[in-house]
Amino acid sequence: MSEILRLESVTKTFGTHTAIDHVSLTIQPQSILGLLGPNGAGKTTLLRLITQIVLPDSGRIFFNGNIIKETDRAGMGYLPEERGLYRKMRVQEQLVYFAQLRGMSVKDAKHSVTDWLQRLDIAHLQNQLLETLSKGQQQKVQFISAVLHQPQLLILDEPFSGFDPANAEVIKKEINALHKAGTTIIYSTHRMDTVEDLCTELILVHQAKVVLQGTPEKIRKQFDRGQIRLVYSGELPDSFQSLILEQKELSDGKKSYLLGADKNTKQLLTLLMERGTIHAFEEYLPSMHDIFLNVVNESKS
Amino acid sequence: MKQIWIVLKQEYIHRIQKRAFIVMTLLGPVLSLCVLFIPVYLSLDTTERIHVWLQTPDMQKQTGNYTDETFIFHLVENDKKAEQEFMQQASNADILVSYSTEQNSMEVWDKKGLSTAEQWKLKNKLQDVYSKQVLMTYLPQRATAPAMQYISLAEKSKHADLLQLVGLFTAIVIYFFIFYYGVQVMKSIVDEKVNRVVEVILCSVKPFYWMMGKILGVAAVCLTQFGFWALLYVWIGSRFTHSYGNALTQFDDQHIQDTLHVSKDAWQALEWNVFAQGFESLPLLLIGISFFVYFILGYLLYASIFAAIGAMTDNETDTQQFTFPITAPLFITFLFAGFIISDPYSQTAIVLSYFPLTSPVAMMLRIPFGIELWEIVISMFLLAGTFVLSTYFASQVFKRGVLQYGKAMSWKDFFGRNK
Repeated sequence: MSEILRLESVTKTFGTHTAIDHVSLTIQPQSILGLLGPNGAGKTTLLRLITQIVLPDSGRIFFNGNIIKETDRAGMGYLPEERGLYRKMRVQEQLVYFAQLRGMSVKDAKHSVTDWLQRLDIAHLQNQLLETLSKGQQQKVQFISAVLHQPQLLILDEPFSGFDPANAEVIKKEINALHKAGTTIIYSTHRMDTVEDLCTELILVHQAKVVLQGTPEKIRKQFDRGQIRLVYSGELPDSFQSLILEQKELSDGKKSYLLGADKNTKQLLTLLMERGTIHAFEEYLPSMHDIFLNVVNESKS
Repeated sequence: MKQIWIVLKQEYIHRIQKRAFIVMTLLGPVLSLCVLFIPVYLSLDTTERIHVWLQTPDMQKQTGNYTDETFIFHLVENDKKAEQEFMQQASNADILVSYSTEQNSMEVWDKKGLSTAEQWKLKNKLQDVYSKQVLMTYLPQRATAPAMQYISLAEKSKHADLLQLVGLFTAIVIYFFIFYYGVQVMKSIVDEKVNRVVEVILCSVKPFYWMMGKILGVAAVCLTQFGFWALLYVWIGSRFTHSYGNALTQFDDQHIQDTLHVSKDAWQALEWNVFAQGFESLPLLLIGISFFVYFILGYLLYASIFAAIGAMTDNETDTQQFTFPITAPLFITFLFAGFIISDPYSQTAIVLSYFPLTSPVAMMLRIPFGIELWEIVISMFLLAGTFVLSTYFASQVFKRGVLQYGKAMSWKDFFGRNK
């Protein structure tokens, strides 16, 4: 039982709507799990089930090998998608309050809050009312509220929404640092770019079900169609026309092509070298973005 | 359990810093005095006049008009027939005054139960009428004020007004505070749902702890307020005692009688004496303790119901439609208030003072009239038991319903297995 979290056939319905339909999954310690899926797929419900904010209709959830208990909440940090803080409270005051609720002493809480405010560069705002802060600053406060008690499992629902690219980078850095320090992280996102360089594990949820699961590498391999990305200047041989899936004009007379699978790569290269200049010739793995769209569209049709 | 304390503390500190709390605390005594004195003032302004039958010696010829804004005097024969007529239910007479020429004394028979002020006014008027007008004219040799004996035939004691007042006052205060602070608990819960803090809270706190923290936090605020008022009362009381001696010292009767000849305002002193006597006869300690216990238990009961409503709704507008139905039992008790204080031992009064949703108000109305201790204890136990049940109910609603946006709670959810 090395996994930190395991869901066994968990189902949750709201009225007639099934938000989560017999979902089973396991999460290994110290992984970063990216939770992908279109709007309304059930991502947020899945995270709320893990945090015990809502209880499953059926199925079981295990935390550290045992059926999840109310006291396990202390080991989790949660950043909800719909951010919520006390608007009329001072930054430090409310963070200390949240920390206390998660079992920290006032002294430890204050220490941790000060530390985090400094790390995120908003220490000067600690005695201000929350409502006087900018949206990005409020998001940082919200992020701190999720991590300040050093949770074993950190659950982030759309952690980058509301941040400008520079601040998103700061948060990404902190998530990486927490991961290195041994925290297991689950986060849901629409941002495919962050998925590929942050996650060690991916789950794609669609229509209340898990439709894809694995490491980014594995998933992309799974969708490998043997396609080739070619950047080339010169005329393409006629025999290539049937292979072209996409083409794009680049500057200096260069063209970029996406070519379908062909068993004889060597022959292709020889032909190309005779006719013009090859700038790039590489194996093309579909991006998570493409896979995402692919899966979602497939199920629609 | 520690989490309840943390939520409680947070709720408490947050609330006592609010302007609304400070204003309420300072205005409370003023408001409560209004609540106390407006009904008294209104009741003084009664338009119904009192019919007085005067049995006078040889008065047939007397046609003088003694009627004033309080009394209508009727001259009747000085015989047994008039007395019999007076005693009949059907007669419109409230007071019969009989005069004995031999002893120069009069007896005032009171069927209605006049208030002290009215009694004094009547005595004053009679002395005036008899000694100055009637006797001077017809019996000049008797022109000194006749001795007067006042006999009350009314069942109502002269303290009844005071008892009703004390009952009403404590009941109104309990009703108001249960309502006001119960709604605060609901609002607080709905607020946190609206601004979404609830998700941050609920991923670290058991819903039940969160709810109890809020209910108890608001209760602590309320007790602080009462504590402040109690201190204020003690302080004012001590200042008062310091300046005027014991507040409940009665005025010297002889002194009043002497003063009455000079100023008619002295009847207020008389009124005070009756008030002070009545006050001393009140079971003050019992009223105080009952008030406290009924307030706390009643508040807890209603606050847990309000909390459950808060957990089931998503926004403030939705909660408003529940506010009245929840407190309807308390409100309805007030519709019966006149009935309860006029007959505190009637079946309706007894039932209402046992039924937990109405007992905080109904029993407070009854206690000043002297209620057996065991009755109060049973009623309190019923209330406490219901509180335990309602808290369990509310905690179930919280566990299952607090974040089920858009899904109505079903009975299956409610009784379903937790895990």
